[in-house]
Amino acid sequence: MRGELSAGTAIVGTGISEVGRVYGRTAPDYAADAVIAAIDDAGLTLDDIDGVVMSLGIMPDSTLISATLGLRNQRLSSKFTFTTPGGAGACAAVQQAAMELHTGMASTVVYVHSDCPLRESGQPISDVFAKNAAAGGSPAGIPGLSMASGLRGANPLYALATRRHMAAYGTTSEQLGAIAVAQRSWATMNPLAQMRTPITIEDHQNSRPIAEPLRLLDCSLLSNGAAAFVITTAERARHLRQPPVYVWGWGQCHPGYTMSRDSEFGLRSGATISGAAALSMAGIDVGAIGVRELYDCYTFTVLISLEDYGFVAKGEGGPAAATGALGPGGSLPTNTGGGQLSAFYLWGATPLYEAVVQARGQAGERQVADHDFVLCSGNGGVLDHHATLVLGAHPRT
Amino acid sequence: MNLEPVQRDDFSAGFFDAAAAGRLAARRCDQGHYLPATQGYMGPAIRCPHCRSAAIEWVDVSGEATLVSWTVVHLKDATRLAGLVELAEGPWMFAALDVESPTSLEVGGALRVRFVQPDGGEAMPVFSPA
Repeated sequence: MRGELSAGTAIVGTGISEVGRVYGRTAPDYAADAVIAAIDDAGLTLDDIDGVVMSLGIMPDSTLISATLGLRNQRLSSKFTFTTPGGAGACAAVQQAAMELHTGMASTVVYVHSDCPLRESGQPISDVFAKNAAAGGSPAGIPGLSMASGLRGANPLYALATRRHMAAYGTTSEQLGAIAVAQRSWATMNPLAQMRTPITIEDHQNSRPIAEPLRLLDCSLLSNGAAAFVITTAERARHLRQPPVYVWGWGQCHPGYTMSRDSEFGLRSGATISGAAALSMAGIDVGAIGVRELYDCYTFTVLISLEDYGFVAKGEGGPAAATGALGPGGSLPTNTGGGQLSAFYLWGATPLYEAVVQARGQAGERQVADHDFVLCSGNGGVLDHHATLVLGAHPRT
Repeated sequence: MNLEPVQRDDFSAGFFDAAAAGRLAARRCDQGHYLPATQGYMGPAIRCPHCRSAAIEWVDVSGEATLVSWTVVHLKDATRLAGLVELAEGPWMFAALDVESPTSLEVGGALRVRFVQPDGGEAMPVFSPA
């Protein structure tokens, strides 16, 4: 069964709105721009679309892109939320589209992620999170104990995971800095990137602490905007405008860490199981992956993913990063557009967008020569949700 | 210690009653399994993860724990030292830590609880190296 699904579908169009510190518009508006651009990129029309999948960022939004664009008689309409599976929603959306296409339920699906967390006034994002997450008033109950200790939002929880990994394996802040430096090097070659000035490890160490051991340059950007992707069957993909990016394999893992003795929180992520499933479906070994686009809400997320996918041994993510392997010219090119750390933050759509560019061979001066297979990951919550895609530049023969 | 006051809700009433009397409470099911109070960092845990029992109550525990992890959170106007601790009985909880210098903290190190009560709030657990 899995063999039939492998490379049976392909991503055939991508579109992106203006993205970054852009203001004055809404998430649905950015979504419309991205979807129209993606359909055009594929050489299709709105009438060709018979399925839609959406994922949300932090702005709660009940708008359906199908309503915005007047799409009629859709065979699929699905929305992933900010918590479930969060940033794993992009990979999960492509998987859902692939499965619907395989059953014949739909013929051409568009997936879009849009978000609009930034206000021109510069209202801190923590305020927006706090407003969405808490009912207001002083913290209450058992969650209140966490909040009163400063544990609000994802930053401190990811910091706890990072510190645990450091204590167990000797990972250092400078090694996390090497990840930030490598991704910024890639970003200098990406016209879409918000941050294009090179940084050094010293810059990383001097960046202000957010929740120790995480510093500002360990944390992703914030962006307004949207990105969209059109997915269809491999057969149909051959006749469209762009080189198809075939969906060779996929997986998911939702670890469900029990908060008690023997939990692997911070030590091992869902990438282990999700990656194994995706590579098995694709019928390839991890060594065949030429490009990695790894969800990078934090430098630590990249590090633990590299280990758990098997690109490096457990505990060796830090030392590997310190060699410069992840950056231009390195042996493990990773987040080749700069990622969420340096390019833009559209949740799972960030690694997916660059994955498609690389697989198509359209990345210009940042193109990785070996782009036959690109691995794309998504993370949601605080290591709660993981999803993987193995994308291929060629059809199965 | 600079902690924000916390209010009780129905679920946590038993916890804060014990805290007011200087005792640490944790959740235990009728089969004797200790479990964390919340599912992840979200709602109350309503089933034991070991045996799925729904008969769970607050019971007094030793107050001893080991350090799983810690962070110093930099807020706009303050810093807060927060930890993830493993109670001797097994479950984890998030809690404030009190130590002179965070760099002296050791993951795996022994901790002991005491209670503080900010103005306008409930008594709250704080862990320090034992």
